[in-house]
Amino acid sequence: MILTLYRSGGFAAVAQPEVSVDTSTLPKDEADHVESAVREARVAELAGQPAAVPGAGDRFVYELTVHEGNTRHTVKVTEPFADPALGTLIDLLSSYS
Amino acid sequence: MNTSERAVASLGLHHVLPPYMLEHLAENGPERLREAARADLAVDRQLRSARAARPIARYGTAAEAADTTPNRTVYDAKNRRQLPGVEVLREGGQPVSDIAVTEAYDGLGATFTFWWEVFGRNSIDGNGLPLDASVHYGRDYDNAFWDGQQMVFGDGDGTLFNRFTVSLDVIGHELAHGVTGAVRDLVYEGQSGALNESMSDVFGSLVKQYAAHQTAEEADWLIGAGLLAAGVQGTALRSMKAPGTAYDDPNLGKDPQPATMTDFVEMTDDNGGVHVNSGIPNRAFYLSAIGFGGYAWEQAGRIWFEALSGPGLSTAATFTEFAAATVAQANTLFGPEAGAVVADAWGQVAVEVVVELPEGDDPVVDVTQTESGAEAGAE
Repeated sequence: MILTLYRSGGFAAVAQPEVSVDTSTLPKDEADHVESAVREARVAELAGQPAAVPGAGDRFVYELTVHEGNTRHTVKVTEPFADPALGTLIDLLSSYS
Repeated sequence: MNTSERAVASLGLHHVLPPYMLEHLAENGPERLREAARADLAVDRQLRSARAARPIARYGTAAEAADTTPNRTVYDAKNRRQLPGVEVLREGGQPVSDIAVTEAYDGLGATFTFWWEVFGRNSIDGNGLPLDASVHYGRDYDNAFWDGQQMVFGDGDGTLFNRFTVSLDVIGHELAHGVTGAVRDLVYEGQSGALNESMSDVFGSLVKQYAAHQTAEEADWLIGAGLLAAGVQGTALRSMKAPGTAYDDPNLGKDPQPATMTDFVEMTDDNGGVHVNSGIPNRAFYLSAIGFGGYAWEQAGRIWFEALSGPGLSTAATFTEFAAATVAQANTLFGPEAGAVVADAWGQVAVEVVVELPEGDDPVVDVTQTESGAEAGAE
């Protein structure tokens, strides 16, 4: 599974360089941990674009791509997250930057 | 109906006077006018709430509206991303040792004071809405944001950014997003999004200037001074006076803000560059404030707020549309010389100003170096 994360927006508007993680290159325990975080965040079920939230400002936008076999799914998510598992996944992927 | 009964007893001043003047009259005016001014205010509030899209979470209750002191609560998110976290300081509570909590609490207080004393606006919604903030959000988190209901502050990573409560203007900036959301929810994309961002920089900076009692000439016009970590090459995150010059650092990159419409940046990131192109209206505000001289909140600030909350402005406003609204408000509030100051400021940042004459004659186009880029920012 290949995962990429790209963060933009925010008060400072300094984009974080894209983080890419290929779980096939990780030790098995670590690869399992990352892949299970992806499943727990239910990335495959998230819509590609979030509904606009009016009246908000300065929130980070994360573009997350999950590439596995022949499937490739890209979502854009904006903080804060209703599901804490998404925050956990983003923290985990960011730790590879 | 209660509303129409009150409207009959009113002076009809809500058509003429901005609400902060009505509020002043209702509080301090001659006795015979006070009640009528209060009735006008009630009508004014109803008209405004009917006009504007009002997406904030809730509005102050009658009891909250009657209380014109802040009602702050600060939460500790404990480095998680769950809001709001654990309550650590409530209005009037005992001081705590956590500097981020103290800064958030004091910053919300200074911001509340600014809106109340300058604009007669009781909190974000004008109705005494409680002010909630969470600190220590996320881990090494390089951001502060307004989620539509509350303010959220990260600690920064310590290498590029310090904690986001460190600058009063950042706190003022976030709360101003709440105010913009309540009075005219400028769509957070492209030019209207850059205007939304600029409003937050303008009022965030004014909060700081008001607290420090600085004139336009004395102010530094920086956003986020103190936010860049030691060793980062820069003075702040943004400069309203000289957009594009706030920082230039090997790790952080260079301040990307344009200072004029000629250099408007087309981009998809950052909701179409809302934090980038805000440099253009930011500088127009700075130039207006310097053009007037003295305290920036007295003329330029009032003009900007009335242009934002006036009935004619669309939530999808372009720079050109907002510029026209500020010139019209300057003329109405302070006369044609003030209108000329504001029109000149927009001209200097190469934004076209189209002014409609009050009689309804044909619009007069001020052809101040309008660049082809002027149309470019629309989505």
